[in-house]
Amino acid sequence: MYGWVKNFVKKNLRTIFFVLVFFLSLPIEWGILQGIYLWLSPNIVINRLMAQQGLIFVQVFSFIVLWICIKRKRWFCHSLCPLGWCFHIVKWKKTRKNSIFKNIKGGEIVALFSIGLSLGGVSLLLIFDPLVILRTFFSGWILPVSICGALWSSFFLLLLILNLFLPYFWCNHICPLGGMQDLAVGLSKEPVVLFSRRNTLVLLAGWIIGYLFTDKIKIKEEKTILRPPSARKGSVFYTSCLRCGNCVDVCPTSIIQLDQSLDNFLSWQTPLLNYSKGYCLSDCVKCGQVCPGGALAPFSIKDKKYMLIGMAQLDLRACLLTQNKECDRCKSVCDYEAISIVHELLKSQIHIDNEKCVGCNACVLICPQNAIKVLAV
Amino acid sequence: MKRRDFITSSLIAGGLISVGSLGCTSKRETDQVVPDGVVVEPARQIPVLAKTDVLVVGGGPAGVAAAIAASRAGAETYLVERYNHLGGLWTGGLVLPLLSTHGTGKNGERKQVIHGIGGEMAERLLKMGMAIREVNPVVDPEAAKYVLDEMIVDAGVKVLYHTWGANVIKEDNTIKGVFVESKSGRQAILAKVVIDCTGDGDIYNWCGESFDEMKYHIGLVHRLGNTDRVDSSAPGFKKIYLGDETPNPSVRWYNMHGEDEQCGTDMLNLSRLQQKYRMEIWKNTENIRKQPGYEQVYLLDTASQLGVRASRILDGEYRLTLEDTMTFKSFNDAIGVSGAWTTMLYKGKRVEIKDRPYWQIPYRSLLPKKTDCLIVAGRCFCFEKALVEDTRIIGTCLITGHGAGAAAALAVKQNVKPRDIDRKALRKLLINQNVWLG
Repeated sequence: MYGWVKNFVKKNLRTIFFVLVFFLSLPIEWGILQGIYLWLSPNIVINRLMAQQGLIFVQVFSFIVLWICIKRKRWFCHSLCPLGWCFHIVKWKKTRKNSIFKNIKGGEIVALFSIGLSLGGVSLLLIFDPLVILRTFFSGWILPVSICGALWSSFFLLLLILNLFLPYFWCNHICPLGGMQDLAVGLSKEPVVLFSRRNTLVLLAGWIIGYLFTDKIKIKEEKTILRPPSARKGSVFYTSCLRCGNCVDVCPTSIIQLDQSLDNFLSWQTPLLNYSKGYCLSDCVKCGQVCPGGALAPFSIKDKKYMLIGMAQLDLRACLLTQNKECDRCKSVCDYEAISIVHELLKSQIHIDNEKCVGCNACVLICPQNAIKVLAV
Repeated sequence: MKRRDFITSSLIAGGLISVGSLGCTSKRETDQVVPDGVVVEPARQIPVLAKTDVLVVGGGPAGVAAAIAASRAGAETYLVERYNHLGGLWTGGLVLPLLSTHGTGKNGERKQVIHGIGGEMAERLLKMGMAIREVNPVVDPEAAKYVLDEMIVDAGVKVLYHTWGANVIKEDNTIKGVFVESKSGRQAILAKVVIDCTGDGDIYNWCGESFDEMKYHIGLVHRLGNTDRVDSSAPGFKKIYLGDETPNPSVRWYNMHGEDEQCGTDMLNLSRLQQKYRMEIWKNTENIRKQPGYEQVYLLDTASQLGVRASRILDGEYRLTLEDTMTFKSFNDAIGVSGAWTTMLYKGKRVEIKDRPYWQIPYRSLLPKKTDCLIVAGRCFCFEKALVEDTRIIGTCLITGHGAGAAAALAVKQNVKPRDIDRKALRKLLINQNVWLG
C-alpha cells in the first residue's frame, strides 16, 4: 500500500504540485500559506539575496530545492514546475517526457543577467520566473478585473501559444529558473566556470545596466497613492514587486488592491491601499510576510508604529467636538496614541500628533462625521 | 469652705484634669495617628437602621430601576441616595437624552429594545409632554425626578436621601450590609442582597473585588435659559451654539466633553474640575450675552454632579465583549437587550449606527468573582473597555438595573445566593415585568 502511494506521488509529483499551486493561488483566505510556493524557487531567493532585500525563514526550502537540483539535473522542471506541466498538457507534437530538455542553451545567460541586474538593485527579471508567471496569471483575475490585470495574465497565455509552435522553447532557452539549475550544476562541478569570459561579461553587463536603471531612471511617484505599510520607497518598490498579489489575498481587511490605473506602466498591478472600507490593523504583519520579491519588507508588530503609510488630517469644521457634541471615537480606536483631546473653555479639540500617526485609517473609518482623511506623504 | 481650701482643692482638681487630659490626648495620638499619613479609626458600635431583603446603593437610573424591580417582585427594598433626587446623572447631572433605546435586528429592522421599567419611565415622560422624540428621547430633568419619585413610592421602596454608602459589612466573602453616613451619623443597613449602583463601583471596591480603572473624559453639563428670546434682527447678529433642545422651549442643555483621561474617583481632582468648569461655564455664558441679540440668555443651572463617564470596571464572572455585541450573541441568562448610539469598528470594518445590532446583557456580567450576595448594575459592571461608549449610557444602566433588581428579589425569594438563582425563573420574572429579552 505504502509503496503504491510512493510510486503514485513519484510519478505524479508535478501534477500534485500544480493542483497545490492552483488552490494556493485562489483568492481564499490561506493566511501565510498564500502563494507560499513562490518561496520554493531558488531563482527568486538568490535574486532577492543579491538585491539585498533580506530573507525570511521559509526561503530555506528553496535551498533544499537547489541542492536536489544539483544532484539531479533539472529536477525542478521534471518534478515541480507547474508551468512545465501546463506546457506538457498544451501542445500538438507528442514529446516523450525524457526528451524534453534537450539542446538547452541560453537559460544560463538569462539567469546570470538577472543576478547581475539584482546586484545592481533591479530584480525585474524575476517576472520571468515560472512560478511568478503562474502567480501573476492568477492575480490578474483578482476582482475587479482590469485591463492591466488582463495584460499581465495574458503573458502566461502567450507562452502557452508559443509552446504550441515551439514546444519547450521557453524552458530550454529562456527560463531563468532552468538556467539557474544548469548554472548550479556547472558551478558545483567547476566553480571556475563563473569566471569564464562569457559569464563575467553577462554578469557585469547586468550589474551595470541594473545600476544605471536604478540611478538614472527616476520613476514619477504619485503623491496621492498610499502603499502598504512596509512598501519600499522609490524605484526599488516597482522593480522588486513581482505583481503576484499575495499581499492582496492575505490582507485581513481587504484594503490592499492592485493598481489598475493605466497612467503609469511601472505601477501596473502593484499593491496600493484602498481605504474606503477598512483600515490597517495594528496587530497584523501579514503583507510583509508573504511578499516574495521584497517590495514589502518583512516587519514585526513592534515595527509597525514606525511604518508610515500616510498622515491623518482632520477637518475641524466637520468634527463633532467643534459643534459641542460629545465624541471621542477617533481617539478610542487609535492604537498609536496619536490622537489627544485638548479641553479649553468648554470647547474640546482633537489634536493629531504627526510624529505618532502612521496613517492606518482607523480614525477615518470610525468618524461619524467623515471629518478625517489620510493623505499620502 | 475656706478660701484657701477652695483654692487648693481647685488647684488639685485642675491639675488632675489637666494631667488626665494630657494623658488622654497623648495616648490617642499614639493610637490613632500612624506616622505615614494614616489614621486608625477606633472600633465603635453602629446602630442598625434597618434589616431588609434588598439594599440598593445609588439612586441613578440603574439604582432606581433595580429598587423598583426588586420591590415589585415582592422584596422589601431600601434605596440609598447621596443627593436629594433620583435619576443621578440623567436628572441631576443634566445628561438629558436617554440614548440606546433602539437597536437593529437580525433582518436589519430598527426596533425599540428598552422596555420594562426604563421603557415605562420614558413612556410616562412622553405622555406628560416632558420628553421629545420617541427614539433616544430628551427629557425634562425635574419631570424625570418627579416620575422616578412617583414610581419609587408606588413600588413601596424605602428611600434614604442625603445618605452616602460609607463602607461594607462583610462576613468572609458574603456581604451582609452597608454602613451609611448622613446627618444622622453612621448607621448600618443589613440586607440579604446588596446591589451596587454607585456607578463608580464603590461597594465592590470596598469588598476587595478586582477591577479595571478607566480614565475617561469628565465634563459638567449646564443649561441656558431664555434661549428663545434671541433677537436675530439685532445688527451684527451671528448664529452661535446655545446647546441642544429640551422639552422646555426656552431652555437648552449644553453638554461638555471636558478634560480627557481624568480619574473619576479622586476627590481632589473632581473638586479641581468642578471649580474650573463652573468658571468656564460662567465665562462662556458672559461671552454669549455680549453677542448682539443674545442679551437675554442666562445661565439657568449647572449640573449638581460632574459627568464622570467611566471609572471602575468590574472584573466579574463574565466580561461582555465587543464581539458579543456585534454578533447577536445569545446568552441563556440574558437580563435585557440594549441598543447602540454611535459608530464602531469591528474586525477592521466600520459599523454604522443604523447597522449596529442590539445586544444581550448576560446576568453573569453583573456578578463579582468573589463576593457573594452582591450584584453590580450601572456603568461599572463587567465589560470590555472598547464597549464603554454603549455600556455607560442611561438606557443600558436602566436595563442592567432592572435585571439586578429582579435577580436580587428572586434570590431572596428562593433563599439562595444571587449566583445560584434559577436562570429560567429569572427569565420568567423579567418577562413578567415587561423586559424584552431579544
